[in-house]
Parts: sequence; structure tokens; C-alpha cells
Amino acid sequence: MREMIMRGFFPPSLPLIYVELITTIFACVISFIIYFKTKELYELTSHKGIKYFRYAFLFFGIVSLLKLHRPLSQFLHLGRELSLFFGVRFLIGFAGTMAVLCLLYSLIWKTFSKTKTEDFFAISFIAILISVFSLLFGPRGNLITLIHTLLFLAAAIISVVQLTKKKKGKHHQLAFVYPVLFLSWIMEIAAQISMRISFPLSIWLNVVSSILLFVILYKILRITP
Amino acid sequence: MIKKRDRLEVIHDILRVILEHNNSIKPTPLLRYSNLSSQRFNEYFEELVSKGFIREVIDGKGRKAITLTDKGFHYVEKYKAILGFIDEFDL
Repeated sequence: MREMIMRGFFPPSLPLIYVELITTIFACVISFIIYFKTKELYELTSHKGIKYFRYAFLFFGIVSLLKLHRPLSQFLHLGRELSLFFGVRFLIGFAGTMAVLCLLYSLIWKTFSKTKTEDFFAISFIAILISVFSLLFGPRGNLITLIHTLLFLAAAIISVVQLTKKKKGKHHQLAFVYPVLFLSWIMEIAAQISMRISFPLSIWLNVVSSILLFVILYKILRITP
Repeated sequence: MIKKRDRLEVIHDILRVILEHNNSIKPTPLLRYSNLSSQRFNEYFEELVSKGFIREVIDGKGRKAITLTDKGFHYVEKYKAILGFIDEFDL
């Protein structure tokens, strides 16, 4: 019975759906505000770090938009039909992985600045691979859980190392914000694709990522009012 | 050791030199003040013209001069915010 609830065979209670709807819309709006608020800085500088930073929030905004299918299908009494639609799950997996990889790449792009590879295509290729694996093995096997865990670990370790090595002795909030954001994003993607994460937990992840997005937006607004 | 200027800093320095010369300077002094090799200066110059930060004008005496556009002024104004943003998010 517990297993069935975790896998989403029973519809979640109405208040939880409201919380999911509100936090998803909130995350979506904040992501797009961050994307458009940094447009001017990118147009003035063509800075690669700013470019990938913006992409991360554009893709996360798209993920949030796509995630609205779950509460909306509950409201419209569509059951799980829309959730099982192949394209929606693939797009969530792809856009979510792109968001994580782009945010990570915005931190480490300088390391690869002398390579001649097309960074964006390389990132997209990795994201497509992960998304395809998610669809093939997500609902059944543990492989996708392993891939997402490894992706999260790599992203978290790289971001903490990168953010602390340059600011030695200086407290850097992002060394906390980024790993938690990566964790919540990756678990949200896993929850949407494989449905192996309980509904209340995915709601909490939604709330955490919304708070972190707000912290990032606040930092941006402080610099570019 | 003197730290090598990054791309954004070089662009800011070039625009600042133009601004400090009452927004009109000839190409040769600009090259001298920008502390770049002529090859690198030409690369930056082309980029700034193509992005619409600067433009070449002919002054009253028929001499070529370089001035900032509105976008160039905007870059100088926003430079602190740009650096602050890059530093804040470690980009």
C-alpha cells in the first residue's frame, strides 16, 4: 500500500496540490525574472559565465512550467494520463538536466575556455543522453537514480570546491545555496520522471528550491536594481 | 607581478579613455593610452564598433575621431554592476 502511494497511484490530497501549484508557479516566475533581469548584463558583455547562468534559469523556468501538468491534471481530473505522456517526461528530464549542467558550467567555463568544442552542444548532448536513459530505465530500474545521484554529487563537489577556493577566508553563501539547489532540482527531476519519490517530499523540494531561487533573485536585484 | 587585464576590463579602459578626452579622440592616441599591441587593439576596436559601443566620426577639420555611443556610455555606467554580478556568482 505504502509503495503504491509513493508511486503516485492514489491522488494526493487537495491542500498539497495547492502548495505544489503555488510553489511551482512561484519558481517559474522567479526563474524567468532572473533570466530577463540579467539580459542587459549579457548583451553588454557577451560574458560566457553570464550566458550559461541565464540559460540555467531559463531551463529551470521551462521545467517549472512543464511541472504544472501534475497539479493541473489533478484539477482537471485527468488522473495520471498527462503525467505519463512521453514528451512531457522527456522534456522535464532534458530541461532539468540542462539547468543543472548550465549552472555548473557557468562556474567552471574558464577551465575550458581554450578548448575549441561547442560547449552548448556538448552540454545538450549529455542532457539528451541522461534524459533518454531516464525514460528507458526511470520507472523500472535504479540506474537513473544512480545517474542522478552521481550528477548531483559531481555538481555539488565541483561547485563547493570552485566557490571556496577563490574566496579563501571569506564566507561564500553560494557554496551552500548551489549544492542545495542542485539537490532539490535533481530530486525534482527524478520525482517527475521515475516517480520513486513520495509526493510530500517532492513538495518540500519545491518549497526549498523556491526559497533558494528567491535568495538568488534578491542578490541580483541588490546589484542591478 | 602585474595581473593581466581581462576582456571586460580592457573594454572598460578603452571606453574610459575616450570619455576622459571629452568623448572624442583620434585612433593613434587611443591605441597608445589603451596599452595594447596594435593587433589586439584592432581586434577590440572591431568588436566595439560591431557591438555599437563606439563609432568613427569626421570632425569639423576633416579628421577621423572616435566617440562613444549611448550603448558605450551605458557600459561605462554599468561596469561596476557587471563586475559585482560576476564576482557575486563567481562567473
